[in-house]
Amino acid sequence: MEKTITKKDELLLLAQSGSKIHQPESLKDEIKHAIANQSIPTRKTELWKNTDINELLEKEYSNATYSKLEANDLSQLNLLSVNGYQLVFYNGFFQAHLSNTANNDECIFGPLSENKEERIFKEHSGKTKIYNESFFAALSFSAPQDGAFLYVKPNKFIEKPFHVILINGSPEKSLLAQLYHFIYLEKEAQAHLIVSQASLHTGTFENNSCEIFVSENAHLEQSNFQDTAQKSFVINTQKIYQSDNTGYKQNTFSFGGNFIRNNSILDMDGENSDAKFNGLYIPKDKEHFDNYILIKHIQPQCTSNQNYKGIMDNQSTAVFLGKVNVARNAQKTNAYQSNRNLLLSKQAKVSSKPQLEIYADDVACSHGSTTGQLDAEAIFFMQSRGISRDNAIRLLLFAFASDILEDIQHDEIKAYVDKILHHRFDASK
Amino acid sequence: MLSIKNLKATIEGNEILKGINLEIKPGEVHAIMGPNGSGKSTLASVLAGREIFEVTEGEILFNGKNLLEMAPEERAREGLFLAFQYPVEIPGVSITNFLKAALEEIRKHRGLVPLKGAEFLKYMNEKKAMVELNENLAGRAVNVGFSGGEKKKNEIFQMAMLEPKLSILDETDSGLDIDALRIVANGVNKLKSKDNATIVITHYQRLLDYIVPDVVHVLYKGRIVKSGGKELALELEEKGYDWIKKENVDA
Repeated sequence: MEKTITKKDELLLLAQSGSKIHQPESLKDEIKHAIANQSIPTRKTELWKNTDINELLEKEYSNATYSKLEANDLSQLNLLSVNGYQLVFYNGFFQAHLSNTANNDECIFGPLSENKEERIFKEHSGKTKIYNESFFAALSFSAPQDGAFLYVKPNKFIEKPFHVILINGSPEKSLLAQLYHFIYLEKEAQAHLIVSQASLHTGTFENNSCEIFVSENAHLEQSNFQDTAQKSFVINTQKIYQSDNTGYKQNTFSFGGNFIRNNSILDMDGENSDAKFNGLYIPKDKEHFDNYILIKHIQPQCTSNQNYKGIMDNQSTAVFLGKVNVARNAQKTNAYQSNRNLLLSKQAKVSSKPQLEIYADDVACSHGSTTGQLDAEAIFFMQSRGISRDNAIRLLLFAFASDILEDIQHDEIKAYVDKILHHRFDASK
Repeated sequence: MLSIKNLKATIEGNEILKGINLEIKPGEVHAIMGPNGSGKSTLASVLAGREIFEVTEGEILFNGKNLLEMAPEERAREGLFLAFQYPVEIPGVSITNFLKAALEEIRKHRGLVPLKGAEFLKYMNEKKAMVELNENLAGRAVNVGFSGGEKKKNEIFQMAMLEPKLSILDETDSGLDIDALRIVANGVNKLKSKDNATIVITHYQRLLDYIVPDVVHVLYKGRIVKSGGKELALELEEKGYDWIKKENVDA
């Protein structure tokens, strides 16, 4: 008797054979269930309506093998360079020679495959039930090759950022790279996590899942830089859990990549907490950038803010799907959502859908979405003052992104983003 | 300084300017008056290089150079300035950055090095004082949240900053109360010299009490139908535009 192997089975088998990390035994049944109950999303799946993954599914993938990433190859990618701890992964394989791990009385930062804090991992991995968010999240969570492990001890404020660098790419075959990252901040801890994603060659499907736990009175800032190759596929799913009196801030910059889908699901399960999501995506050519954010206000007195901006060129497409859900108990919630898009070409397309679902009665929530073109009258006005057309357009593009740029606290990061934008805005005139 | 010969221009196929001739010399102030729809603002737009208008015939020489071959920014760098009838709001672009960029490009064109931070701010404050602009501009975006009068004063301020050779004031007086009008006119008068020239486009005579023109032209249906001294403006004020219209019925 013959049984046809579905794409789902194929991906699962591949992932399982490449996996070197075991999730806690106690989750076995739940994971099995999650995998059985979720299918690969299609255009009929609510959260994937405007996301075409056919190209991703058409490819035949194989497992990556360890390949050493040369320091030269890494430096030619012009990634953000900061003085901090660093973990580098190449197609899901840890690159010890390029990394700077930590294991001291303040924090532990290293690859999951070498993680020295088994207790914390066993207690909390899977606690957000990230595997129920989508088939891809379940795939990544259940069978990762490796991933980053960060544990910040109570009361520790770590000034040095924790930089996770994910490089993908293969010169010939299409590879599947699967990573799961575990981030845990203890009470009153504070840290800055940076995730840079880039490609050396083309043709990898990089599927990341990430769980983040922010304990009472802790603060985490996360900065994401995405600049992957023209033929790569990237899906990032992260689930964040916030306790009482916490702060979480995420800045996501999507500069390049054939296909990038970012899923961020936040459980605001503590009182008096703040969350802020800033996003700037600037796709060109036929790139597709997709941001899905779900913020669940579960407890009262919390504030969440989403500010996503897109500058779209050529035939690029983008999706913004932002949801805020305010539970009946979450009184005194403040929730704001804004998505603005600037289309530089007539062929560029964006689908923007900010959504509010409110079950509490004493809340302040607002959402808005705009999509438009560069203001021709403003360009002419500036030209009439002697400013070249190119310069006028650049001024307008920076003006459009200004509130996101102004919200970057770190000078090194600001300079880095500025440099990339200058380069890009010079090119898109 | 400016020589316009038989200028014809269209928008979406409709001819608006039907053969304009105009000569302006350094040190002169010319007023261009005319009823609504006569082509006054079109003339200003064509001079500044607004792309939606197509010049179908004629030539414009600006200090001996062919103006029509220049991009709008080149015209500005050569010394042409248009004070907009409706100044544009540019959210997110600060006035300081905007003027810095403009002045830098204009100075570069004139072979001058950019002003350094402190020098620039000093220069800006001098010009602000000159045009009686009291508003604190720090951190404000170009024209965003400005009242109509503030926007017009801001245009004259930009004019002072960029020191043009030929300024075109396109209905700068429209919507201004008498105090704002005086301030605007004072600014223009202070900037006047024997080397630069001004074109004042207006529907009303009022502004010309403050900015006294050497020559007044009446534009009607895309042509200059009458030119004269400043008394022509008074005559128009008294009689309205109807007599011009009647005179030109058969034209």
